[in-house]
Amino acid sequence: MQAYNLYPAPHPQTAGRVIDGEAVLLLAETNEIQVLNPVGSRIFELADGQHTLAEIASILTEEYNVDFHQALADVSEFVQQLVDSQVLVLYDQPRTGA
Amino acid sequence: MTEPCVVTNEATDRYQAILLKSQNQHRLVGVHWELTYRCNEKCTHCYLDVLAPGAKIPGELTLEEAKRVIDELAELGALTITFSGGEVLVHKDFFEIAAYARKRGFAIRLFTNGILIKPEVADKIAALRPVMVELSLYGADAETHDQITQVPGSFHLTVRAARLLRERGVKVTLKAPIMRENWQQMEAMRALAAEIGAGFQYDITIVPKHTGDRAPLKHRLTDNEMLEVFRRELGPDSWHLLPYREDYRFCGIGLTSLTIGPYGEVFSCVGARVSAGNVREQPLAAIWRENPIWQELSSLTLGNLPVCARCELRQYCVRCHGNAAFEDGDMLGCSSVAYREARLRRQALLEKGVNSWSNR
Repeated sequence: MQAYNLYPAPHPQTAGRVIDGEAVLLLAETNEIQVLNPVGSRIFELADGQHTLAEIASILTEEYNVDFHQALADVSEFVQQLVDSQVLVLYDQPRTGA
Repeated sequence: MTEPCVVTNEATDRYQAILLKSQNQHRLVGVHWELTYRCNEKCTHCYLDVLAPGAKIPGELTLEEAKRVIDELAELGALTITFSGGEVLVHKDFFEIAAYARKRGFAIRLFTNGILIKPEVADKIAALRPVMVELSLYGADAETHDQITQVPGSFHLTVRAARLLRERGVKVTLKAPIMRENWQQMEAMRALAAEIGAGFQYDITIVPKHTGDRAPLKHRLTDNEMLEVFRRELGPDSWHLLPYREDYRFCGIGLTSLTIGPYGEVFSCVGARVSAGNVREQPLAAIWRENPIWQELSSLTLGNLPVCARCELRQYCVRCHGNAAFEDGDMLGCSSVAYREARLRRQALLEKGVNSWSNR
């Protein structure tokens, strides 16, 4: 399966909430607080287990008026960072109730 | 589109900025949830009239109700839940409730006396990845601690719990209410916490029971004892004189947090316990957004507390509006316990050369 067809969803151990457009994350492993910038927060918000990376990139393409391929590259890289930090998990199927 | 990024530097500052913005917007961030008033200790100073661990309490929220409340809190955008009691671990559904809260994206904190935390329970707590587990410690030795909890063996069980949790990587804080029976053991308690790898916090304010019973007050430090504690604990680096501003708030009451009781009651906070409704009767969103008490309580600034605004001790005072109401009968008036503490705090600080003029 191509990576852009994967479904990112919150890692079950990470606490996070989007507050006024900014995602506040409490990382379970380290108990550290992370705050995402507005674009990162929007990606975190869309990483609900219902959208693929490509769909997220498509939404950002419209919202930020950017090139789709660049958005997909940025989203993929960013999501991988969050996966490495145990903030998100990638699934090959949509998540119900994620 | 700017490049998405994870902010790792200054994240705490940004989080504080978000909290400040949340205060201004009356956005719910944190919830203190007393899951039960049942407890397996009988602490002599407790502000609650706790019930026996096995007491049949038909009114406690059911598991399904608790999950619904968590869903509502998530919809409101709250981020943290502190589970408390009574003793949360006597609640048969605690782990299921806490796991559900984690599933819904909450950061959780746990207040417990720890005496039910055996290795397998510590494993389950660690699996929840709590931000912090705060254990109540009442002395540096079994004799002192157990005299206060009225449960023989409880000291060793609480200390064991702290060790078991630390061994599993869980952050632990030992919290000590300071009273006549244990004030001379503060340093030993702090050393015990350090040896375990836990944080240490103390609280000198013993309050009446919420029923109005003043029995716990006999455990309060005398003036001389409290002064001695302040002499040891306070200094120019550990105490900053409180600002004298009309908009200064003594606490965050009414701004970003609420308390839920075992029977679904919603309160302003643990201390003041101003009723705001019941989750069985109203959606939490309606309680949070429509009840006028939040606006009233959040207006409790120095400028709106005329007695405090005129008080010579205002820069030394850490009053709780709830104590003013419970003990002195007027939430807007002087809190006599806070006044006494402020007077002694000032004395100790003046002895060390800290005064209101040099810190203004």
